[in-house]
Amino acid sequence: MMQPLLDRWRRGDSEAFLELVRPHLVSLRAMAAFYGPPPGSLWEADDLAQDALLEAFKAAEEFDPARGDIRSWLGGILRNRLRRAWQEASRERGRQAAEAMRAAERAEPVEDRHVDALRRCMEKLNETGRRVVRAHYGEGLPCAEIAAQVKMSLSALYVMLHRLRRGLRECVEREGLGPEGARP
Amino acid sequence: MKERAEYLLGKAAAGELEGAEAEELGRLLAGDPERAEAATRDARFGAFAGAVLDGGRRFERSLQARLRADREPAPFVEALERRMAPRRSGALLIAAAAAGLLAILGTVVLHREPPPDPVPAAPAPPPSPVVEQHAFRIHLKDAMIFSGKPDQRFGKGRVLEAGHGLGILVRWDLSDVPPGSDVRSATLLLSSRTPGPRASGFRAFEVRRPWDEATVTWNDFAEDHPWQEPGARGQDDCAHVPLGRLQPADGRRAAVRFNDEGVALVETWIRHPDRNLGILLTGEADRVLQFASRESDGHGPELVLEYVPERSER
Repeated sequence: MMQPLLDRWRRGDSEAFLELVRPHLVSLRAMAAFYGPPPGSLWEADDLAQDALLEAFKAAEEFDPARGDIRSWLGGILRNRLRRAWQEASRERGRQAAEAMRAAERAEPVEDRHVDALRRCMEKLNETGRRVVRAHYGEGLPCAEIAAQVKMSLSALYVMLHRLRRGLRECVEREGLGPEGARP
Repeated sequence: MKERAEYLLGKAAAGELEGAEAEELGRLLAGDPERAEAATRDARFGAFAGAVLDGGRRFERSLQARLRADREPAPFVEALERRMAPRRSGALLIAAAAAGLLAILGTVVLHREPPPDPVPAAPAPPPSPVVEQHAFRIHLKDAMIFSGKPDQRFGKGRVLEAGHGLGILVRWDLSDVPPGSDVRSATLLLSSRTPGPRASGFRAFEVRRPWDEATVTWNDFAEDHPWQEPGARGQDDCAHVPLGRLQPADGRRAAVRFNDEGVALVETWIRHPDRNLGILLTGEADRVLQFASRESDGHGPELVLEYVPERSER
C-alpha cells in the first residue's frame, strides 16, 4: 500500500507525501514544541516542523523503507533542524552551544502515550476548565471571546489559563510522561 | 505578587502580552530561577497542547501551501509587480499615511518599521481640526479562497487565511461617510488568531468583481460566475496596483496602511458605492497567516478611516 504513494512522492507529488506523513504530524509538531529553543511557542514549533517536512519532501530518494519506518526517518530530519535552531538561538542569545546540543540530541518524535496522557488529564478538569482549554488550544479563540463565553473577566481568564496549563503539565509529568527535553 | 505573576504568565500563554508587561514579567522571573524554569516548561507544554488539540488543519494547510510554493516558482504577487512596474514607479507614498495611522490608532504601536520606501516622502499636511476618525466593521463581508480546495466556500468560516494559494476578500459598507469627504488615511486592521503575526509579503489589491460572500470560491466570484482566472488573478478580477502591505501591529493584530492609491480608491468608494467591491489580501510568503473573520464575534477585519467630511483645500 505504501509503495504507490512512495513512487508518487518520488515523482514530486506533494499530496502523496502528505498522505504518508499525515499520521505522524501530531507527533512531529509535539517534538518540535518540546525540544525547540525558547520561547517555545506553537507558532515557532510549527515553523520548525514544517522546515523539516519540506526538507524531507525534497529528500524522497534518501528514504528507504527497508532501513526503518518513516516516522523515525522524519524524526531524524527534525532532530537536525532542531539542532540548527538551537545553534542559531545560542548565537543570538549568547547561550552555551553545548547546552543547546544536549537539548536537541534528546529529541524524539513524541509517542502516542504522551498524547493519551494529556487527554486523560483533561478529563480530570472541571467543565469550565475543559471548555477553556479546548477553546484556547483547540479552536485558537482570542481570550476576550473565551472570557465572554464562560462569563468571566479577561483578567480572571488569564490567571485561569496559566493555572490550567500548569496543572495539566504537572498531571502529565506525574504520569511519568513529562518531556525530557523540557529541561534544556 | 503571585497573582500578578500568574496574570502575566496567563497573558503570555495567550500571546497577548504587551511590551511593558513582558518587561515586568522578565523582572519577576529574573529573581527566581525556579519559577523561570517552570515558566519555560509551561510554555513548551502549551505548545504541545496546541499541537495535540488543534486538529492540525492550520498546520496541514500551511504545510500544503509551503510544498506548493516550493514547486511553483512564479509567484502571483511578483508576476503582478512585474506587469505593473512602469505604473508603480510613479506612485507616491505620502508620509501622512504613517503619521495618520499613529494618530488614529492611539495605543496601536507598530513594533517593526515598514521597509524604506524608494520614493521620497512628501511633507505631511498640517493637522486639521475637522478630521474625523471612524472604524468600519459592522457592515462588512469577508471570505477566504483556497487553491487547494478550489470549489469550497469559506464565507461563513470564523477564520481567514492568507498565504500562497490563499486569499482574503473583505468589503465594507461606507455609506455613513458623507460623499465628497476628503480621506486622509485608511488602515485595514486584522486580528490574528496566532501570536505575533509576521506579515512580510502580503499585499492588498482592489477587487473588480461583485463577489458573493456565501458562494465565492477560488474558482468562482459568485455561484456559476467564474473569475477570469482562478484565484482572482485576471486583469478583470483585480487591479494590479498594490494598495498597501501587511505589517505587524500591536499584540495579535496586523495592519495594512493604505498607500496614496489606496486612499484615492476609498474616496472613490465613498463617491460611487457601486464601485466598492472591496479588497483581496494575498501574498507569496511561505507561511499561512490566520485572522479572525466577522463571524468570530466582533473580531473581524476593521477599516479605520481618517477623513474631513467636506472636501477642503489641502
